[in-house]
Amino acid sequence: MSVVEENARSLSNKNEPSYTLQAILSWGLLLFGLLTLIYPRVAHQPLLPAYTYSNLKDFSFWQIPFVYVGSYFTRAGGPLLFAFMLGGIIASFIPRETMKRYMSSRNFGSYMIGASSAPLLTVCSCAMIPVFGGILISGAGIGPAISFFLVAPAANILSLIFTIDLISWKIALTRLFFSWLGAIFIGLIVSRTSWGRSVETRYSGIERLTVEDEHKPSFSKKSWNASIEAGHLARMVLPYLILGVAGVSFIEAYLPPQIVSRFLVGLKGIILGGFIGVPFYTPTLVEVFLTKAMINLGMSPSAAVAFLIGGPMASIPSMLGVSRLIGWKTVFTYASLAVILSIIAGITYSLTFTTL
Amino acid sequence: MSKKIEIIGGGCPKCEKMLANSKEAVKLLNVEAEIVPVFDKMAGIQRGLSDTPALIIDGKVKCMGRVAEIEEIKKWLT
Repeated sequence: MSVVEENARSLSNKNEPSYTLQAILSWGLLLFGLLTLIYPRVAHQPLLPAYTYSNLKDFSFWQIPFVYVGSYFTRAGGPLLFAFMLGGIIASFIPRETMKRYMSSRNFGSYMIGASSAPLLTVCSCAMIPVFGGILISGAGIGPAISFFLVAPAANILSLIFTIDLISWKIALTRLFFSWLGAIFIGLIVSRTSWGRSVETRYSGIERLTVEDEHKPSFSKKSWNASIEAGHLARMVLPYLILGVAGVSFIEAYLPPQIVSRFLVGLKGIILGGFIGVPFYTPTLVEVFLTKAMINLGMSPSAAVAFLIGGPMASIPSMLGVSRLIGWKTVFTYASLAVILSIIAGITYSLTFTTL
Repeated sequence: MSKKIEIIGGGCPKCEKMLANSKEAVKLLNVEAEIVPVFDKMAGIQRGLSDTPALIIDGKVKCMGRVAEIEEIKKWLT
């Protein structure tokens, strides 16, 4: 009996086809992507040939975005594969329902679960507002909902992987730690404001629906779903990512380094870094490439930390999106606290890892 | 009697896939069904939905947070 037939027989539910081959493909892609991420750190050269250039300004205006994007694509293509496959596997194997079940009471545990699961569970950014709304109408209320909503963009696992790969693990760690801790604090503070509470009561009447899901796919089916989810993710992220990085190419080529090293260093740089993220919306992952370009131009790492936390947490589009649900008072509260948090994070980074 | 299938979502690829699967299921079963896509993220929360995409058949939530397969939708429609 072949392996495929054996697998088909061993499945207890009805005649579900076996997904062994697809599962092997999925996990293979994940491991290959991981290899392209780890190999350069060990062997000090990339696994696949990368196209590099010495000076961006050697190229003409129209060539610049292509050279820049092309160079990054050869260098970051493998890690992108890993990131998308990881996102797909998380989306396929960790159903959001389980997380929500543990986050249904107004105790401190809900804040922890909300903040800790947010990096993993928002691989599809379009579901962020519905999940936020779901936590809002559950027993946990507005505090954990805000904590979740803040950690998700600031410490998203895709962003963290790329921060480690393109920038530094120290910045990624600072980003993760302060996003997590700060989001919990900000959520707690918001839940104690009068306007935060009124939002909570406004939504307390709605009963949250749960679905009795009999759909229990096999491990190999889930593995194959992971590839499908990864594909969805790539389809959503890649177009804007490419456009965003093309835009960044012009910044790295033409923004005078003197301006960057004058304003984006030192304490002034940290404060500015926290603030400029607010109007500067960047699509998923683009903020890492933009930060890398700014660092190349002379931005200090601590200012980068502030930008990488304040920007995603307090970006205007997400504020606009959620203001329809919770009103502008609550939005301004968490946004201003987020900027303060990002400045504190930047200062802490500079005291811990560098000299200002 | 015509069934009402609603798909609540934000317009991301998963919602499109759910819509496509629903249309295919209806076609395969040859039943009368009205498919109503509601691609507005705020619409879900008022009805108690906490995840997208969500599939609602005749007012009952059948699936939330993932894309239902064509076979599943067929089963729910019969």
